[in-house]
Amino acid sequence: MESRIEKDIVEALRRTGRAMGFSELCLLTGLNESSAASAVSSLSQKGLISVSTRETKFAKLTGEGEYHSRNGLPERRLVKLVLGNGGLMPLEEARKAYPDGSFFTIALGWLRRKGWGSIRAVNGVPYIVVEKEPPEGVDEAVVRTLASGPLDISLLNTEAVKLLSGRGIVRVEEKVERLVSLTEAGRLVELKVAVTQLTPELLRTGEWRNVELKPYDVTADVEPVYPGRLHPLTEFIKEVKEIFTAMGFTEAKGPLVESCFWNFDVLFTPQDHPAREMQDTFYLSHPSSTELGDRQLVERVRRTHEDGWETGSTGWGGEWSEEAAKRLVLRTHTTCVSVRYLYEHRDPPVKVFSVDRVFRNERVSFKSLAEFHQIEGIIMDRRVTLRDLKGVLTEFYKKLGLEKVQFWPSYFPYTEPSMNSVVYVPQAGRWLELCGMGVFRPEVTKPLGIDHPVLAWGGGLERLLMLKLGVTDIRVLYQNDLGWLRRVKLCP
Amino acid sequence: MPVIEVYPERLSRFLGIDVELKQLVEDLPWLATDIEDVGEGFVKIEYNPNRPDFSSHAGIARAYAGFLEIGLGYPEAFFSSPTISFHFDSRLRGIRGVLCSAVVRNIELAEEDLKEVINVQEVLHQGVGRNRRKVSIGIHDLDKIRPPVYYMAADPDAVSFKPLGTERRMTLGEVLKEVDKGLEYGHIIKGFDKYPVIVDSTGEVLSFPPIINSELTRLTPETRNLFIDVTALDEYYASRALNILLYVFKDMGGSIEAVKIIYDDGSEKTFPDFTPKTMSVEASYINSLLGENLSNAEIYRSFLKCRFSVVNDGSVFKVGIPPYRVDIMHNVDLVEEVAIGYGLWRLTPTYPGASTIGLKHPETMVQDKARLIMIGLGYTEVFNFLITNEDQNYRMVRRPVSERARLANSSSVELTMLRDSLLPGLIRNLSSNKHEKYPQRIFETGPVIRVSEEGSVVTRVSLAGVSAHSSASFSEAKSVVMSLLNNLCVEKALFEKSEDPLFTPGRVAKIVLNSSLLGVVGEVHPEVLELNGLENPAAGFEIDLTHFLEKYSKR
Repeated sequence: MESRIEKDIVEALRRTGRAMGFSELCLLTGLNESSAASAVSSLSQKGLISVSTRETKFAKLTGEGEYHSRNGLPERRLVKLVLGNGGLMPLEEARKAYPDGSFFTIALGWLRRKGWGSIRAVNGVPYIVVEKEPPEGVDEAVVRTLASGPLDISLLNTEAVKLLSGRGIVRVEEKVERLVSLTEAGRLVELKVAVTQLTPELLRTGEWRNVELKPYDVTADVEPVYPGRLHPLTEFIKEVKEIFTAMGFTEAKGPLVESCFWNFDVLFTPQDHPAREMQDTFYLSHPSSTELGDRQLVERVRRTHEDGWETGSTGWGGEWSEEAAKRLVLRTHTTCVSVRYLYEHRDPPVKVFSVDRVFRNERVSFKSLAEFHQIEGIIMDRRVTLRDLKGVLTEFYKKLGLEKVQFWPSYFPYTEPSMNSVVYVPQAGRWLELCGMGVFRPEVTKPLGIDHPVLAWGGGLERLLMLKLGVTDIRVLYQNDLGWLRRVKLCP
Repeated sequence: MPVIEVYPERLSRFLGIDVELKQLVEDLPWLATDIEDVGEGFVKIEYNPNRPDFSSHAGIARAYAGFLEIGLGYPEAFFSSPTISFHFDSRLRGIRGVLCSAVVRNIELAEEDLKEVINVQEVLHQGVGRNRRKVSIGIHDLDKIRPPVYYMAADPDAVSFKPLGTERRMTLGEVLKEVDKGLEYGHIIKGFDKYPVIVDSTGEVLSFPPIINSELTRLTPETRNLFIDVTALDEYYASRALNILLYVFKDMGGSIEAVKIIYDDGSEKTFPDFTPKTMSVEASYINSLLGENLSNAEIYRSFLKCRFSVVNDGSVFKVGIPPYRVDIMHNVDLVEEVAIGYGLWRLTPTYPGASTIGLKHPETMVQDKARLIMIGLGYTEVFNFLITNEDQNYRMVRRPVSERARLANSSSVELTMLRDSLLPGLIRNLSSNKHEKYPQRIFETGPVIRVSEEGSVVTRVSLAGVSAHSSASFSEAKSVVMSLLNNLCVEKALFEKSEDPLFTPGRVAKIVLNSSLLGVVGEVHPEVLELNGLENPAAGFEIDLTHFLEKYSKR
């Protein structure tokens, strides 16, 4: 492809069909010398034109010649004067009337020599006689042509040049000039103009067909752009929720500010359990407590704590305090969400999940936060077993891309039997303790009016996400550093 | 959760056979412990608080012997009749009304044994003892004591002694004020007129439970006979704590001797109580919960491996629970014992057959939809904490401090309340991202918590966005809100002149839908920008997504 200038040059050469001097080329194409020179050099590199040098003789007007080119040759001016006088004018009168006396003699000489007029004596007085306006002579044409600049003499009438130079009107000079001609390729090549940006103008006019879109260095670096995007936590939470729904689980939501009753007591956590202490759980000072609602449920839970009620358990002993159960906390797990849901959906089968915020009154550090997310799943059915729990978790992990999983016995206050699971996280190349799980204790389910086994599992979301993202400081996830958010990747 | 470093040689001493570290690392998780770390010649395990008997090598060896099948069934322990009596002052009933005690004779405690005993005591104080409030234990050099011993209620200033680790005698009241342990645990008894104290027949103080022992009865490498007191609020846990400790001393080679407690009314009680608690469980119950089809013989052996005594009558198993176990409350706990005895790894996964249909919560559906629109509008999502403080939530955005959900016991001054709006968090995010390229457009969706006039907690799902750059304006924010609402299928929202100190007066509108307030949109007040060190204008909005939940709830 060629630039617009290159195209003009090639086209000018084609039009004239011959080699051309550089200055002539400029004249013809209306280009200034420097842009023409770089285009010529580029075309020559492409082999479209060849450049040779030649000596040329140039004719140019002398100072006197320029004067005449403005006013006409002296003889022409004399002719005009005489014709203006009716074609007959006494010589002396003409001499006086001639506008530039110094040229009168020359004018008269050339007038006679060119045969434009004659001198005739009438009554002894010499008169100049001109019969008609003579056409433009060749010499005059040369002067006119040179008025716009010097020219190669080969382009001019040789006789006239010789004559004019003899008269001191024209001077002939020698000059070495570059000569530009088309090569064979230059004659045949299809010319396209190169452009950088395709414009609406090019499209509208159809001119895009005649241009060539300049190729880019496709390996060069470009400015980065960042999409508006989801936070990686959201992205991951979405993924987990989709896995749950695909496995037939319904999402449950529950209060973030929860009573101790639902957060602890319903889950058979004794009222003097360390987890309920101030240094582990956020209590609210305003509002500080809530009414518990369903009296019968409250009584069943009280009895279960105190002596086991009808659950077959010994209970924790001691006296259960309803006041303590009424206190409001920021929920410490989402299990309270699940049991609230179970209480409202007592007919099997129930499969429910939540992925939501929980709170612990912990010092924030690189490995722990006061606020984080928990993944939780629950299955209640007529006949579900500990082996089923292993099966569901294995499937759940597989869908998260975690193929290797191991289960160990463990302990949780509200499940029995209880298990722990560790999964191998390929992105991190190591094992991670992920979900705790088990079958809800009868002390939990019976007071809620649930007569079937309930499988439950849950675990923190952030630690798995950290491994997937390669983040070692958990606080990074909540720092909202735009640079990080714009660049972080959650890869499968 | 409590941890312990387990050394194979030490464990071998109690097991009677040699074990290797590698084998321990493989086996111990099957006893419901977690491998925390494997060090030079030891494995550090984390065990669950329901098994305080794992606080010593002796205790772990007892369980591990069952796992290895070199020690099956109930571990018997014997004691001799009491020679020492312990008098209980009935005035202690409302203060610290439970007392257990025992004597251990002819024991030689090497330094590491002593260390381990102190660890067991500490674990019992922490867990079962609920930080000494519920149960606390004192261990004394018996030979420094002149029995009989008295557990009595004393005036804070009436009795004095030299507390363990101090140089001078102090009254009980002084101990609470001046000694570290007194400051730490004093709150347990401070509310009472009289404090519990244990003295011997010469009137010398042995212990000021649950605070500290006397220097007098300090254990030394020469100590051969031990006197143990357990004071508590609950006899079951006190007696179990004593049993756990006594089983350790027994395994270390000591002989147990009972102690007779004599009450003011003349009644007596003797400790320790090693009578096994019994429970019965059906094979079918076990199999249905596990999803297995274990034979009676398999169940029988599983119980033995967990160190239970067991008698089976057909498919009913009557088991005796070792007296050092505090975690067996219900039949279901026996099911877990069988699972552990049988080997949890032998339960292969199955998938439950219930056919159910999954669905996301309406809140999630609305939020996901709004998120998609926002990222389409070029906004990047941020995720802030719910817990904030008055400074961030109000003062930094010129809003007046108002009715809010407050925390009672935060460990940090930064965490004092729950956010009632998302915008302050977004402004703060802008403030911490000044070095990043502009324009900056961020949004968040999540719960905000308010307190109603009646004083109850109200949770709403909110969505807010801000745009910050050199030409951010009200019009831009309004365009975004209109596009958002339009894509949320809201057509009739009205924008009305409004006021909000976060925004510039005259450049803020409330958004009203069917005459209820949906949200606010405006140009951030220059003073808010200045307060947050921002040098680019910003405009933003916040709307309440809760209005849209209903449409999704019917699904």
